[in-house]
Amino acid sequence: MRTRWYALVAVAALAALAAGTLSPASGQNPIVVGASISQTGRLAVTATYVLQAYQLWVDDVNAKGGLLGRPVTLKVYDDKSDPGTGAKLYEKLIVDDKVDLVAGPYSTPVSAAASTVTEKYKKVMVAPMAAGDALWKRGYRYLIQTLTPSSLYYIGVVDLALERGLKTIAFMSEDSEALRVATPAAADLAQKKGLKVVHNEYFPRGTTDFSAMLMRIKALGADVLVCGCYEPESVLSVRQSKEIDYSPRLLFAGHGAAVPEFYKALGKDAEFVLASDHWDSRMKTPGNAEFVERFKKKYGREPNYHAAGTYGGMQVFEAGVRKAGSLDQDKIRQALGELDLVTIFGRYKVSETGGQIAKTSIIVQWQGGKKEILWPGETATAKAMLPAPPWAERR
Amino acid sequence: MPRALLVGLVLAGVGAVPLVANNYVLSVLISLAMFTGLAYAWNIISGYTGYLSFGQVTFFGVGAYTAAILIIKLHVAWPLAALAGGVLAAFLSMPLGWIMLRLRGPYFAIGMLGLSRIAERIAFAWEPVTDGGRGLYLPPVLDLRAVYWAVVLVGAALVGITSLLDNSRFGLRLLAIREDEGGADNLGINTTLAKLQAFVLSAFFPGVLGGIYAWHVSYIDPVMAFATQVDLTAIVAVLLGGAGTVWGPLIGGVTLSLLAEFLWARFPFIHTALFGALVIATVLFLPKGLADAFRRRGWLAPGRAFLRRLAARQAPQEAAPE
Repeated sequence: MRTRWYALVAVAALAALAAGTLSPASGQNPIVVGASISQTGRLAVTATYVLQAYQLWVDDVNAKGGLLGRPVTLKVYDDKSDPGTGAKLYEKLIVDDKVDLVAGPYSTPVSAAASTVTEKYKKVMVAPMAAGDALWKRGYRYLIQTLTPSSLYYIGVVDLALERGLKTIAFMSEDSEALRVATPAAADLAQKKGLKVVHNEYFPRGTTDFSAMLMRIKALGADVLVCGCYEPESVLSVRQSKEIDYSPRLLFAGHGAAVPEFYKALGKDAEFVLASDHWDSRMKTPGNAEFVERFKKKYGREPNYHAAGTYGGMQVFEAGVRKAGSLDQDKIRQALGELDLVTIFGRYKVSETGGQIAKTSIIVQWQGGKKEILWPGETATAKAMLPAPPWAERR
Repeated sequence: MPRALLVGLVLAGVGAVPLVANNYVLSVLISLAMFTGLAYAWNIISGYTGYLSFGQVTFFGVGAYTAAILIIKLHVAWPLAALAGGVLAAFLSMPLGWIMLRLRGPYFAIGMLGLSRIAERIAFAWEPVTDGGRGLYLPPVLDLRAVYWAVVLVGAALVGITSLLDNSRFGLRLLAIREDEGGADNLGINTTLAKLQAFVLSAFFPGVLGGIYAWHVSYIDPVMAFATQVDLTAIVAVLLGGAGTVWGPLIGGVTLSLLAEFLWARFPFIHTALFGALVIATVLFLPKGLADAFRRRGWLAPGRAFLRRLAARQAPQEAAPE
């Protein structure tokens, strides 16, 4: 019942928003961009960031004089967080509404269902929030990824370790599709660059006791510990390495360590811990600061990576259409295949399959209760505080 | 026989729709037929027997996963895979029904809800087979017409079966259980067997529909396969149309789907709220459903026509020996 209420509140909020933002386009014959967004259902709360980013992008494009000399409007339907409904809506957008461009829905499941429809009609779909690498192994041509691919999640850690002259590295990762890709990619790079991989182990999702694993790694004396972790495991692995008094000189605890809850749970023990993240509002990508400013002004809240990733994805789409110089889907697909640019979200370049190959995670470190960006270097906000002091020497 | 001719004409008409409709209309009709079919399946156990189930989606999900795995790993043709989904759902429903049908009233309803949640957890945890939360990707469906025909075929089969059920001793046994299970038992009805048969029947069809759904959407994950929403939509359709009747699920399913489609196109931002209000209104003012309202106005013949004819014919015979 509670989700029902959230849904109602979300619907009301969106209705209020829509009244203010869906203003009629200037001029005639606008380019219509169609998408389905989970405005109700279990994904609705996060999906509003996606919708708001779409709307902000439309505003910005129109302020610049539109696309191909025509104003842009957005046609959005609610997929109720249901992939089946999403597929139906993309049929409607393409067959019935005959929209000019198709943008992706919020979640991976809905993208999976919707991309089958867009592929059938040979419509390019830039799917800013679709994460599963499996989506790009289906042999589809018209689906474009702009989010970080899992193979590039952790590679920054290797660079940082080498910079500080560290010698050995140990991995322990959750057994999931993304980390089964992310971990070997980082381990391979480490090996290639002369960092010795002393341990590499996967644990099942939901593991709560890491002490045996950490004892083995401690015995090996690894300088660097990489935990391929999401939120609960990030906290637990750090806490337990302190309990057994294992002090890696560089402790990296995955995507789960980048959220504010991580610091709240660990307090001072979170200091010196490294984490990976898709995006940060201080990243020095072109236009990022302005994006954050405009988003805050328009919606009264901080954008998150969902908003930034969506906006960045649409910047890619926009560049593709401009480069193609027409709405011909095959020309746009070709342009998107050739493009290599930096959006507010980071770099964009895709392989033959449309899967992203250039966007990396950023690596951050908790310093004095704040996250500082360490890597990549051009976007850093602080120097790495490494090696981390042993637990015993901290206050 | 004019009746057979009418049925044939309707079927031919419904079957011919893909020859004229575009893919969007087809996708709307597919989901309409899908939910009407699920409503019919739910009607068998809950409408006739009175065992309100909030967990028939368990069998939908089992069917979806069975079909998806058969298609991906063994390259089974999708109609066969969907059928296999139904068969496995039916087999699974036997032990489950044997256990669950000991519960009555709200306990059964909540027990079934729990069962569907357990099924979802299993789909999450059993990664080697289900790929857990990542979900399973199926080859794309490029032709919606075959999907449409398959769903309509299942729907038509359900209408036929419900109509037979409504006019059979078996159907009467189920209704007797609904009205007074203890009384039915005293009259010599094997209530356990009758309930179990109804349960298996109402598990098989969601299994098949789940298989078709997985194929149609080309992706399946635990949340969508075992969504409580699927059950709720079927339940609302049956309540709106009329529980324990032949035409109730059809009337309810079609009305609801079209209404949802209409509201959603007109009022994109408040359609769910409007929809909820309409559901509340119908339950308050039409507790027996639209089928009953239609019947009272004489638009729809009373149910169990065959049994009524039988009863009417037997009356003079019984009078004779006197």
